[in-house]
Parts: sequence; structure tokens; C-alpha cells
Amino acid sequence: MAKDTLTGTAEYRALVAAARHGLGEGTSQVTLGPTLRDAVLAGARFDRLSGLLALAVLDGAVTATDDDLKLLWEQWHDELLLSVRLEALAVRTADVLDAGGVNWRLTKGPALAHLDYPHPAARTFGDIDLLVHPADWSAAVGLLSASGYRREAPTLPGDYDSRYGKGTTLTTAEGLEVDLHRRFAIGRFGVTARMETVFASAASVQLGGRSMPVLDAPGRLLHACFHASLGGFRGLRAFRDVAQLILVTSADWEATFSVARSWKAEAVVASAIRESWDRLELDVEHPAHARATSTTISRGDRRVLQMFAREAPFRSQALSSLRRLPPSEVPRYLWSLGRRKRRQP
Amino acid sequence: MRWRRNPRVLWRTAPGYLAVATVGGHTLEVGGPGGELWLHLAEWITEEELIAALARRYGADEPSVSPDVRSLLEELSGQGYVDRDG
Repeated sequence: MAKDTLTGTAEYRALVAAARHGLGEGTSQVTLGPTLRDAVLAGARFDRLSGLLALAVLDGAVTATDDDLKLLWEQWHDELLLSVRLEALAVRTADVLDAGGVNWRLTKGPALAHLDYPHPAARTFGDIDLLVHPADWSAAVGLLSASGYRREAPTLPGDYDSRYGKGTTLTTAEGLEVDLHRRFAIGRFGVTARMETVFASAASVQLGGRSMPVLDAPGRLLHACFHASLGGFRGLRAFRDVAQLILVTSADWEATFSVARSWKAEAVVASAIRESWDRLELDVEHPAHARATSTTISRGDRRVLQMFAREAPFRSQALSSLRRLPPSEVPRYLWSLGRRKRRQP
Repeated sequence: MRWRRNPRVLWRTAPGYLAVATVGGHTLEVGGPGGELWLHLAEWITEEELIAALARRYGADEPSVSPDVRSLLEELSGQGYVDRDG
């Protein structure tokens, strides 16, 4: 059975059970069922929840027929194979960036899989995410382009990308994607971010025989919150990441709030934590959740959060920056956006 | 003879499943006991120890497990996924 959510999209009980599995009290057993099986598996594939769904089945939180299991196992294995292919790509990409002296951090998928989930196979992913230090943005894009990575979207005219942009997606010849992040979001909560802050410290994971620098736990939580609140697809897995970092990793969430406040983005973190508890139906008391629910979200912030939640067009999201930019910078920003619009077909 | 994982290999295991990749992007999927075998290769282990461990795990006798284990090790070694010592 599907359940309506705050944003109006249907969520299937089996996916909710998978996304919350291992967090808090267990719920009554859910059956995958023949009627919804295809939709649930498609949802799990799209949201990279197959690993968590498989673990929920193995632990008995979700029941399934042998036929259903065969399909789920095949899907999980496909995602695991993609995960190791992407990690190999991450290592090759790291070698290119290091050779060029670029300061970068691995974030999201493989970082969370190895550092925050008890079993890396639980957290699958469909691309590689790298955050580049703002001072090295142009160098990073240039190095990877020269190494054969293809930029899907055209370079925007002027300096919109480097000054205000979120980043770009690069594709390899084999069709794998690297999301290169300049910041965590565009718009109201992105332009005030001082990304240098999250480069002040680092964690690491060993991949392919080398150390990969990773955002520290508060930084990973911050990125997870930005993705959950402002990402293009705000599926259950995004909220599981937030809850996982708080409840299992015990990330220093106060440090996350502190950085977010300095970026005028406290509402992003508060909203992500609140919605994680709601959508995952968590009944766990935690000071991070108490802090999130007691945080006052201004009308302006709420309006922008809702706009991102309904996936408003790029231009609307970008224009939400205007009230946060210094007045002297507004004409330049509008000029960049206007030039971008004219390039579109 | 001793065996261990090549530390440069990327990998995932699930029940009855192993996926490995080289940094260069070559991949291999192994079903059955491949994942279990891989977990024993975290440190150098002799072939005899490995066969004994897998025989215990699957409730089988060592002579019946041995050919499959040796064959899989040879395949993994041939493609650079495991290191051989001796």
C-alpha cells in the first residue's frame, strides 16, 4: 500500500520499512506483495534503496515470495556491481585531481557507504560526488575535461558557474557520471555558503589501495541535509542518510547547525531533520530532532524550501538568491542568469 | 601457498554474491560461495586454512570443497583480484 507524504508523492510501505530499517523501533512486518512488487522494485532502484530493502527482507522486516526475492537480489547485485565500477572511477578521478594539485573531498554515496552504514552493500549509489575547493574549481573542470570527461550541460557564459553555480555533471566514455560540486545548492541557501569551511578538516576512506579525503561527519551531515531539503529528487534514501548520520554515526550535529547558521541556512538543516523523522516515521527521541523542531523557520526560508521541494524550474530557484546577495552584486547575477536563458533552445 | 585480496581491488559482498573491480575498471561477478571466500582473504591465508573454513561454513567435507576453491582462486588471481604468495 502507498502512503501519501508531505510533498504529495506516494510512498510504498515496503520502501518506508526499508528506508527506516535498523533505526528505532521496528514496525509491523510488511509484505512486498505481487500487486505492488514492480512499482516497489522500480522505486527502490530509482532511489538506490535496493540494498536496504534486501537487508530488511533478510532480517524479516519485509516478506517476499521467492520470485520477488529473485528479482530483488538481481537488482541489488546490479547496483553493487555499479558501485564498484564507480569506486574504481573515483580512484582514477582522484589521481587526476591530485596530480593537478586540486583540493577536493569525496562525499555522498561511497563516503557514506563506507563510513556511515554498517555494511557498504546497504548503501548503493548511481554516481560519484566530489566537492571541489572553490579556489580550484576551474582547474578541476579543466583537468577532467582534458582527461576525457565530458561535460553534459554547456558551460554557462560569464562566471555564473564559478561564482554562483552548484557544479556540473561529467560523463566518462563508459557512461559513468561524476557530479562535481562547487557548492551544495543554488539559490537562497547556496550563495551564502562559504564552502572553504567544510575543507577545514577531513575524514578518509581507503579505496583502491589509496586514501581518499572525505568530508568529516558534520560536513557529510550538512551535505545530506542540503540534498534532503533542496535536492532534485528528495526520495526516502536522502532522509535515511540524514537519520543514519545522526542516529548511527553520531555525527556532531551541533557543528552542522553551527556551519549552517553561519551560511544563513539553518532552516535547511532543521527542515531536513524534521522531514527525516516524519517520512521515516521515526519514534526516536534525539536532541538533534528536538533542536530541529524548535528552530524557527522564517516565512521567506519556508517559501524557498517549498519551492525546491516541488522542483520549481532552475530560474525560479536561482532567483531565490536575490535577497541574499549584496545589492552591488545583483545586476551581475541577473546578467548571468539572463545570458543563460538566451542560450537555452 | 597463501592468498589475500589485492588491496587495490574495489569490492562488495552480499549473501551468495561477490563483485570486484580493478582500478582500471575491469569487473567480475561471482555467485555462490565467492562472497564468503572473499571475506576470508582480508589477510594472508593458506589454501588449506581457506578450504577448511569454507568446508566448515557450508557443512561440507574438504575434498569436495577444494576443487571449487582452487579454481576460483586461480580465476581471481589470473585477473589480478587476489595476490598469491609461494
